[in-house]
Amino acid sequence: MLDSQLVVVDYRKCVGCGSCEMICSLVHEGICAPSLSRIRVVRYERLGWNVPVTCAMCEKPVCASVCPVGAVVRNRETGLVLIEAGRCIGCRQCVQACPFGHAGFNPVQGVAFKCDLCEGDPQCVKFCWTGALSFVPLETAVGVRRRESAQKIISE
Amino acid sequence: MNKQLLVDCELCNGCGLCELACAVSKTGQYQPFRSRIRVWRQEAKGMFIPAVCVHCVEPPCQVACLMNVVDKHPVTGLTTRRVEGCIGCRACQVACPFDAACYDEVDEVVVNCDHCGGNPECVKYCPTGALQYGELEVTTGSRRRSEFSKWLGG
Amino acid sequence: MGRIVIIGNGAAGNCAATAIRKHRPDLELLMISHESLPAYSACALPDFLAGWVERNRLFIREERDYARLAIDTRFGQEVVALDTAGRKVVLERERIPYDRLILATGSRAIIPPVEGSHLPGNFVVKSVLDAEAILRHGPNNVVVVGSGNIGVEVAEALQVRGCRVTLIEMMEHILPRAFDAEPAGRIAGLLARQGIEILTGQKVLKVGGAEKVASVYTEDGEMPCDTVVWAAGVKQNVEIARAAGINIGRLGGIMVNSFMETNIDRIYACGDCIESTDILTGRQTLSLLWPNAKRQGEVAGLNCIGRQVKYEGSLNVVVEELYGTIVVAIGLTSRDLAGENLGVLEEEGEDWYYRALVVDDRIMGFQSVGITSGIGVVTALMKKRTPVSEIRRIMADPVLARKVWWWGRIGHFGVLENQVD
Repeated sequence: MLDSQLVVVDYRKCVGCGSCEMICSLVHEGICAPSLSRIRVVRYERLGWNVPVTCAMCEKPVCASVCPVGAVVRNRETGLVLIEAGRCIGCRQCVQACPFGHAGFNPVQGVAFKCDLCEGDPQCVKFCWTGALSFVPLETAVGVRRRESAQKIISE
Repeated sequence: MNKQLLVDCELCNGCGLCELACAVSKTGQYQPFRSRIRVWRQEAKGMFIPAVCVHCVEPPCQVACLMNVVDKHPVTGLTTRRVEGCIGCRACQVACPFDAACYDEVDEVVVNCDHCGGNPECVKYCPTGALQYGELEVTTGSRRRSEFSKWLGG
Repeated sequence: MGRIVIIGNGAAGNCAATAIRKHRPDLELLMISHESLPAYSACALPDFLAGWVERNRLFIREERDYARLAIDTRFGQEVVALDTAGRKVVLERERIPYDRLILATGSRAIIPPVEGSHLPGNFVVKSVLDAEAILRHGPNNVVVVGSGNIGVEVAEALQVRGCRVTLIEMMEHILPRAFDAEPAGRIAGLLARQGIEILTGQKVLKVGGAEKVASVYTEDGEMPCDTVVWAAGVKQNVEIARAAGINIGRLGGIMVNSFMETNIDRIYACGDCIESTDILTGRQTLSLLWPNAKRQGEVAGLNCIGRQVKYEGSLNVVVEELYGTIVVAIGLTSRDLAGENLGVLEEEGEDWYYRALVVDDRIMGFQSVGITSGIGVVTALMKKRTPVSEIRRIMADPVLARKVWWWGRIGHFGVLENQVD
């Protein structure tokens, strides 16, 4: 989906504050608990890098393939990969299969969870104050990056 | 239940020590066919898949059971079977997507993994590290970490 | 929320009760059943007939379990009518008000109205009492009419008990609802090898005998016997529902939506008495199988306490162990799929056989004889409606195949895994 918007991460801007994790778990689960957040920040403190990890909305999602009951479905029109909680049997295979370690498991509810883009208004992006997260079409984000690197070349 | 038996098929070499360890500890016999973990071997492809119960929260085998002997343990969250009520009809085997409900041909009942009370024998004997017993969150966390440290070259 | 009344003490009714109790320990629950026994597994009745399972092991609940779950019971009582306007269930001696009502009235075995079918020596196998009656009767020479899963299992059970057994089927092969002719022929071979006589394409015209069963007449003539077991189908118990104005479908079951709600507010229905949607075709079907009934009961129970859960649809799964050989049928048969662009993938070995029915790149049916492992994977992939091409794509990629590890067991069924040119 070229024109659909994605949460695009600019690693250089993330300071690892974890606001995204807090707001995500708050809107989805009602509590501020990073372990229940759909977006997770991996902090490499010695290297000075912070990497927010969220769903890549793969075109061929492994989580959907590995789900034994078809609870993880990729919507062809929107390109969204979503978990239907009512169908989930809590086998945790999607959590283990995701190559990015994105999907998570709520042990209290007994269901797996993953990013749902907050129905088109991702709260993590709204609450990211550094600008590390943006919600734009991939093409726009890549265009911006292209322009930035071109800028470097012409300024030399 | 926070700890899981985590299987990494990429590391499994099909040695079958897990099957032996399980069978011995559960039945006292060195008979892999009585084990609750079973390795499916496709030697031509070099693919070895240890199948073991993943303890679904709402197990399909529980729905399929004709005698209602499959239960979820209220404290540990494990999937348990009241084997004395099992009539060995195999309905749960056909319902389990993971092929992890194991038929014990000697006792003529279906059994499944019980995590050996929190210290799984199969994990102790696994020489390759394909079987791990740990918290899911820790493993996904390390997956996240290693995936992105590749990108960062660190 | 007030009292929830469940009519029926079978798989569906009990699963509804358990599901409600799991989330709402406070609600008042009442269960009505015309049988006076606690819940038992009807699927184990043939095993009971054979003597493999003792009577007490048939029961999945004891009397005290109802008390433990705080379920009020009215066992051994018939429901006379439903008063939907006043929200009351009318029994012979009392009127029970309800806030939500779950109908799990089930089905009953039918005996076709042929001459002599009322004579002593005619039986069905639907309840513990039926099975006990057969054992008390002391059968020696048995005719089993109908070769559905119950018919075949009963034939095996009585043969194991030492009876001479003849199995009569109206259609051209046994197990016609679950299997195609080819695997059914193999299963018939298993039975015939043990001495069960199988007559297909034949109809019972008359049961002979003056005071008790003495013979059975088919088109081919008379066949002496002392016991006739009718396994020729069941009928949905929908009479009280129909009288109360609940919609009944064309197939004869109560019509419900995917939340198990009937057309009347606050009345839910589940189990053998309803028509459900087939997960593979999307068409209405009578599923009549224990696992489907259990899931429907769970869905009805959860919806009735306000937790919205959708029923995924029914899938026919028949698993039988006949003389030590496992036979499995999942989904539809070639006959159900007649007229579609049907591909049959099959393979056989010394003592095993399987076939997969593929329509539009999707597995719509699977039948096997003598295979025990890997079938769960096929069931799951059928339910997920995973295209065969997708299975092959994943299995051809060593990295993906290990990630989606449980699909690997599809390797038991080479023709599904490998591209056939």
